[in-house]
Amino acid sequence: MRLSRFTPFTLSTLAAAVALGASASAQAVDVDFHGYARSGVGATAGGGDQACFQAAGASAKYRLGNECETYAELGLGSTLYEQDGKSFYFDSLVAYVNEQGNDFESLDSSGSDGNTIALRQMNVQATGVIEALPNATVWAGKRFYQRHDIHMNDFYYWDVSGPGGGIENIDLGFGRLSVAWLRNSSTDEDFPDSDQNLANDTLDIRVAGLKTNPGGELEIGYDYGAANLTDAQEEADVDPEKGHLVTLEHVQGDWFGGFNKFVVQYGKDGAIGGSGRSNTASTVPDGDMIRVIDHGQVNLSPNVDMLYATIYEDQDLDNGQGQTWTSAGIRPTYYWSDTMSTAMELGYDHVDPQDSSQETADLTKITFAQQWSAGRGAFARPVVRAFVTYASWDGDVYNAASESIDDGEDDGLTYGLQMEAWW
Amino acid sequence: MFLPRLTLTALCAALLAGCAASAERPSTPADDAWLTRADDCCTAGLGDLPATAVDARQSLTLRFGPDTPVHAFAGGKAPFHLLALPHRQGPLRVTLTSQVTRDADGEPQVFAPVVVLLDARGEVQRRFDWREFEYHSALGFQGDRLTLGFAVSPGTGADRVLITTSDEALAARTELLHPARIEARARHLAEPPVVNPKAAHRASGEVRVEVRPLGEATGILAPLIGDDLSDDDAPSVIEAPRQTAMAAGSTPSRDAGALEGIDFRRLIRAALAPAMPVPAPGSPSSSSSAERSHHASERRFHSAMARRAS
Repeated sequence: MRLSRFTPFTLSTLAAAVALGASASAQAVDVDFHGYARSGVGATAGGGDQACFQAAGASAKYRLGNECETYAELGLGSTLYEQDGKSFYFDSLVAYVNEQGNDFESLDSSGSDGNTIALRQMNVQATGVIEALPNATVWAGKRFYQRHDIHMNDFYYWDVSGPGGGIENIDLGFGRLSVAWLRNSSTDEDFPDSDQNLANDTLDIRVAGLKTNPGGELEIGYDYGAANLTDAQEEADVDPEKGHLVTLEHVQGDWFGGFNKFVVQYGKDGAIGGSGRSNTASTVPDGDMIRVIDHGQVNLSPNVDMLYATIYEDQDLDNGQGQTWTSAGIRPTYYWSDTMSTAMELGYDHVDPQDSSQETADLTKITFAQQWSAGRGAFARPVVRAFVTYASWDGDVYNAASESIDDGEDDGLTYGLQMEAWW
Repeated sequence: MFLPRLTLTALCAALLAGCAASAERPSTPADDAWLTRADDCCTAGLGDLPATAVDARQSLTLRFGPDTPVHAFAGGKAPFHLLALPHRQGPLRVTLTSQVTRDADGEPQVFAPVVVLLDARGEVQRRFDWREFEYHSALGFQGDRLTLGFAVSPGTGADRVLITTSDEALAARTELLHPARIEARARHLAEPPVVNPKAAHRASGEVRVEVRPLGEATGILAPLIGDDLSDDDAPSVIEAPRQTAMAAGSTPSRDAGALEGIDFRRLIRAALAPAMPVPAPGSPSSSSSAERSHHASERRFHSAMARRAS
């Protein structure tokens, strides 16, 4: 096992080869089995299956006791070559999602239930192959690319993942430069052939590891999104959007036993409201966006830690359909032991439409969860939890949950059991 | 409606049960002051240390603390356990694991082992410093830990294994991977530049010891390959050595056992396995080239951190 890679479970094919009587010259290949999974069962007070609560227009919801589906990412990776400071690492990952309604649930995505399976990673990362850049990694393929998220509400504010390629971790002396080309295709109804792929390209440039203060680092990034048009699309005289997203993230790494991330993002046109992957459809309105995030984790005492997040996102669109999303949440957890804890998550979302004639949307949720985890801490997994969630919102305006909540209701209570793991 | 209400009631009961439970207290002493007060159990030297006999297939947990015998070694006064290896049962693989725990303030701590292989005369044949243990970050059901594995052919040249610590080890700390970094690596997120916690080295703690015949299959393929642990291989806990201390140069009574205990198929498999060479009889050796390369784990840890920081 190497420390340079996260190698959760190692399957030695050598052992299998020996057991099967294969030649002693068989090569050992260590396979890293990694992934993420969550699943459970829940119900809503008053009857019905579990409802999950999210404010209308908000890009995320506070997740503790508020996830209604089974989702898993199962990956296999392996260092296929490692010699003289050069290595080639192959990685793959398949994601599964279903609504956890039955024992036997298809993943063929033919139904309207959203059950499906997706290939999300298939790449090779070659490190040290450029003599002049021994620490740099050249990569190509589908990849989760340097994703930035808020764990509490599963909000990915900087994530340009997709098929692509590039070079990362070029040592500049004062920081690390990464450049990548990625793609997320779509269609555009304004084209005569509306089913034809619109090749949305993203150029991602970021410099990380800029020392700013003791324990603090800054990362600066720029994403440019544009459609790569075919000749026919060029001749259609349709002008797809372009997108720009600038991100500044400061991480304080010695923050009360945890960390604090302060993020400022400015997006324009196709990049508004997204995570850096531009929507270049010609129907996307022009405008700009400012997003400010502060989130992190702190240890409040030997037995208490807390996740926290605040988000302010202002989308100012030329068509007047923008909005301002404000969000705040905390998840303090008390640890009774190294394996048992009690967590409370309080979250608030407020969405204020740019069009003053539209109603605002508010949602407040609170969850208590008794948890049993492998270890102590906000990031200890696997965890099994029993939860109770209460949410309230403006029922006259919208329904914040699934069909288990009737239109017009303005609050709901759910409860259930859930497991979550990563490895 | 009955079942959901029953479930809700059970959940409430679970919540209340959690609130009613008292916080666990660490079992290790608050500090190592007991060590300075402890008397040397065995002033006659290494050959006079009390030993505990182990089998060729055994799991045991060694506890280090005020109840553990203490000896003034060359590296300083330290608690110790001495394991007498079984002779004439073929080469063995010995794996030691020292788990990181938390003190009353939630700060990480770990017993930093020093392992010494003694011959039948009590002479030092090989020494594994705490730096030669490999650090494994928390994963799944296993917490942060230090591990060391080596192969040995018990005999007069490799008779006993001493597990202790030293003043140098106690003065150092082990850097752990921050849980936020572990999550980032598992979930393919950008790894945050979070300052890693450091575990204080303590003279108190536990070391898990696994003794297995060399070449025996372990892990998730073991049920397919065979040679898994037998049902009677229950782990044992040792606070202090049993009073069957063996004098230097004495031969364990179990040595009278004949060769019928040797699994020749296993020995053949061990000999064929390219990654796990069988050492010359009587001479201990690290079990694989991979493990040899993992020595000085902290240095590798730092270089790995530098590569992964992105």
